[in-house]
Amino acid sequence: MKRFGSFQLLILACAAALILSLFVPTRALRWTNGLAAMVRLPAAPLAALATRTRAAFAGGPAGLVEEEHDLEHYRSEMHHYLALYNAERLRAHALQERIEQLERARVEGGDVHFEPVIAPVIGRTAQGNSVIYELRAGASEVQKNAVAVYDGAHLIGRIAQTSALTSLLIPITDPAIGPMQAYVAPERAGDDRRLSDFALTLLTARGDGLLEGEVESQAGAALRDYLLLDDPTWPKTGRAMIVGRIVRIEPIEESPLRARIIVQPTYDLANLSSVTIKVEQAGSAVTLGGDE
Amino acid sequence: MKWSAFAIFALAALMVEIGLLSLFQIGPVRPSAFAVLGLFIAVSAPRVAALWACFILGVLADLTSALVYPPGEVAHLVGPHALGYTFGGAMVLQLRGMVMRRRVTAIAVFSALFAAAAAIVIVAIYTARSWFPDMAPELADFRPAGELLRRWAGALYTAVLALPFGYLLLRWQKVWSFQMLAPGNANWR
Repeated sequence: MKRFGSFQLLILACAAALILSLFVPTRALRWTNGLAAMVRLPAAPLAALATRTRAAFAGGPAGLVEEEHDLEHYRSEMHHYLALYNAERLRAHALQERIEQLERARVEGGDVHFEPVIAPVIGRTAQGNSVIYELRAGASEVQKNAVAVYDGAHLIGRIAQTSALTSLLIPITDPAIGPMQAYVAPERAGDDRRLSDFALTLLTARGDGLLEGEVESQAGAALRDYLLLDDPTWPKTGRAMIVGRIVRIEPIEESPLRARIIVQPTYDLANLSSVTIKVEQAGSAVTLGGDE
Repeated sequence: MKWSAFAIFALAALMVEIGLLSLFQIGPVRPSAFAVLGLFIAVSAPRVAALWACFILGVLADLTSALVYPPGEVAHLVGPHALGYTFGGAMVLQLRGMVMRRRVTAIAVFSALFAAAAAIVIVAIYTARSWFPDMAPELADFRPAGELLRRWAGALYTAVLALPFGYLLLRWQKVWSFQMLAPGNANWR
């Protein structure tokens, strides 16, 4: 009876092995690495000894083996220092870029006092139709509703939530961010008109990476014109930040006096490794309001 | 059969498999210490114990052979060797009446048969997995015929290895406390 039970158990073990062999993807088998490490552990000293023995046999005369070994050691050292040098070069480049980003954010900030904080993008979370980005900047560094920019003046999004170590950012291309009031500003330089002289529009995200709004047909909006944020529901640090450029102008059949403008942000957050958060210095809370 | 003896010999086979056999590898062909031990148990132990021992040795063999899949990750597939060795053990159980199990040459010849039979199952499983590249990306370029030939060459090489190993195993046979097996005995078949 006992023997029969043992045999039955063996059949079950074989069935389990068969299922594991045929139906489990390799990437789901990483848990076996721990088991394999435990199994290999007792054989490790002998394996090391055998490897050294094989190297001694395969490497030719003893003197040459020693020299080969030294040469290999120096080669390995050279590659190590080369890797360190390259790592430092990359680090210096990254630091230079960070400094440039911080300086641009200060220049574009106008008279609003804020502290620019570089926040690396560490992940993205899809929730329904929305894609929310996770930043490595906690509540001690950034505030809720703080504005995220890139390259100093290009609006990226707004902080939706902060936790101890990270925060969540909604990009301006996400419909969940809501309508944004913005002015159409001509592309040409040297235009000294006041911001309020430009055409005003209410931009909404379309969900495909673009935004759209309506303007007066006579307002003079043209392709490649900038859209500058001027929304009282956004923090003051976001004022006059560039939402994007007009990439298409379409007539609206039901309103001949108005035109639909399609706006494309300059930077796609999906392609950025970090953003600059403009943290207001006036108080603990972010001050909202457009016109002063 | 004493399972404590099996544990000690399995550990020794593991050390030989990982530590020593790399010294004797010829190109991609290498012998298998697990196959020699599995065969030795299959010709000597009661049926179910022999099959269990072969299965456990197969699991050890699976855990000592890694699969590397893109992008440079490692995993161990537990199953092909376990099933292959169990199949090899089952085959030897059918033939062991013909084996003069105290002869080293018999151990060597049947080791090769054991390893060759196991190779058929192992290659069959890998082939089946290779039909699903999403599930097993490491087997995208798997060539069953070439792999089977390589493993059969390894089986012949195992026969060579089985000569000294078989001699040692026979010398230490008493520690296993195998029951005397013969047709008509309760543990026979």
